Amino acid sequence: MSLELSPPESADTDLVAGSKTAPPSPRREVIYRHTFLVRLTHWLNALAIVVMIGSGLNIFNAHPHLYWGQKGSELDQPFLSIGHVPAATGERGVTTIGSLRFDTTGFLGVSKFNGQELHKAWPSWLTIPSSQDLADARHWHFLFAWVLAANGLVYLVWSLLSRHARRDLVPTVGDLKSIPRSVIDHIQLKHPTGEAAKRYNVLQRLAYLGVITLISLMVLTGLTMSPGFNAFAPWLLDLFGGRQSARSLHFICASGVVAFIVVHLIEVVLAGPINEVRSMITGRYVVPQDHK
Amino acid sequence: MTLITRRNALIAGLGGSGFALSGCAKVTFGDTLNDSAGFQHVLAQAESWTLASQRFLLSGGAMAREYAVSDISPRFKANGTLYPTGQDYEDTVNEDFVNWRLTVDGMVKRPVSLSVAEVRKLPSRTQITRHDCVEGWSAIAQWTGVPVGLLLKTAGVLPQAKYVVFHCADNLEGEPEKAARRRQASIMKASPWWTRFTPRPSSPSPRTESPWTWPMAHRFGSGSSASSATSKRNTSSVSSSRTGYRASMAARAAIGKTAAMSGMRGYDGGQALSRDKRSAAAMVDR
Repeated sequence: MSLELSPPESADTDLVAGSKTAPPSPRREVIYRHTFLVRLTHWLNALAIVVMIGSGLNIFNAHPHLYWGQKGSELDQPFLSIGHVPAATGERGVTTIGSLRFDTTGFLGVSKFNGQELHKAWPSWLTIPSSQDLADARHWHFLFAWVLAANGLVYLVWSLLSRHARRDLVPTVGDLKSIPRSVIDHIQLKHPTGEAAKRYNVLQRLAYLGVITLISLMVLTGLTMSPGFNAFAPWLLDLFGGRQSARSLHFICASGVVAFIVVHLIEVVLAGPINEVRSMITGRYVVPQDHK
Repeated sequence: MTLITRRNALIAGLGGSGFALSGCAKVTFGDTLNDSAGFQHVLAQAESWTLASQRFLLSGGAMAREYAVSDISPRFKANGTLYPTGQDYEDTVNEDFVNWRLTVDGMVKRPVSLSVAEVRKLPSRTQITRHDCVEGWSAIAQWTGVPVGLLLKTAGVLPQAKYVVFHCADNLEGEPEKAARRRQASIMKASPWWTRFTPRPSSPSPRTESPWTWPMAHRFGSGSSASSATSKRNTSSVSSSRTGYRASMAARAAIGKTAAMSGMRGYDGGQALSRDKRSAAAMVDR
């Protein structure tokens, strides 16, 4: 039996009221978890992020070195480099971070695509387009940058105005105190049930706020790489410490976004992929029941 | 307590393979889209939005940041090549550029053709600005030279002209092309694209000073060029490899209306301009 509750703003209070009339267990409690705007911006963002990462890695492959400061080329000292060196057994992929050297053959520096060994930083199966094409990759990147930024802006403004950010994302004092407990729960793969499952837990809140911050930083560091935008807003160069620092931060933030995506997808799978994905499509979420 | 049941594990496995599949789908679908004319049109459309918004933001005449001497790259990376190939370039170097001409023609009232000596007599300005490559790297150098705007003003760009095409001596000929907007742009008036590179004070003097270069050109195309640009490759430039100067050079600028836009890809969207618009403009007005 399902209990349909719709207005998202008052989902929690309605549930309390609704539970009075709900039949005793076993029951199947369904709440309206994600508003239309959250669902729409989530999927647009997901699409944009996938394309931005794919095209971004293609762009990165054109110059697979990172630096700090205003300037940097192979003639300077990169802190991160991906390359390949000849060896007795064939070409080896080498990734250098500071003074550390890693053999990354098979993935970074030297990889295979369609049975062919390629000497490029990131493998072809990760990049958009798959072949090395700086011009096209930049076109993709700048098209989807518009999607990402416009979509993100709509989401941010709506979240602030509708109090979504304050109600659902900003952790309460109680949330913050429950961090150790929540960490242990996550390690034990325990997921909230019943009433607790109707709201984001503290680690979820921090993760979502974190990825929103990372994406915002990516937009800003991305703009800082544009010579034209530098002329318009030179303060960005000062904020990030130069064009090359901005480029490196852009890459580091992207790594953070990838880490978020990995954890996010694992959590979706662990928490019940059908229910979770459905709730992000239709908005309806079946509240997991206590196992007692 | 959530247990990882067999059902969940199965779903996770399906999810995992779905993810891997979507990776393949991404590659295939991305490449298919990339090869389609329709999607390329969408990309071009987005690029025009990017261009328009950059132009809008820069309509106030904002100029590129200028740096301190201490910011100059110890070694400046050449974009393209330090030694353009070809007999005509060799000859030009061997005769010390005496027959080299800087030509500005196309949609102009008075085509200009200047020798090195004549160019050097023109007003010049010095600046320390950053050179950015679309690949992602940057290098900072000090540049001295004639503001491009002065050359264009001398030639008298026709009102219907929209683009300036720079022809260079290296193998990337026809590559750097610059959109000079119709509003003629404070951009063109003020930016000393066409500059002479001067060595840093501390570095040894190169054998021959002066590769001609444009530190801020920013369009790259796939072998396209304007229909008006047909003359023989005129070249110049040289420098000491020890100091790593950029040596690709522009020898000719052609002004055109359509500048083979369709053939060009990978537009950078922005340009670095000199911040000191006033002094540059003053030179133009001189």
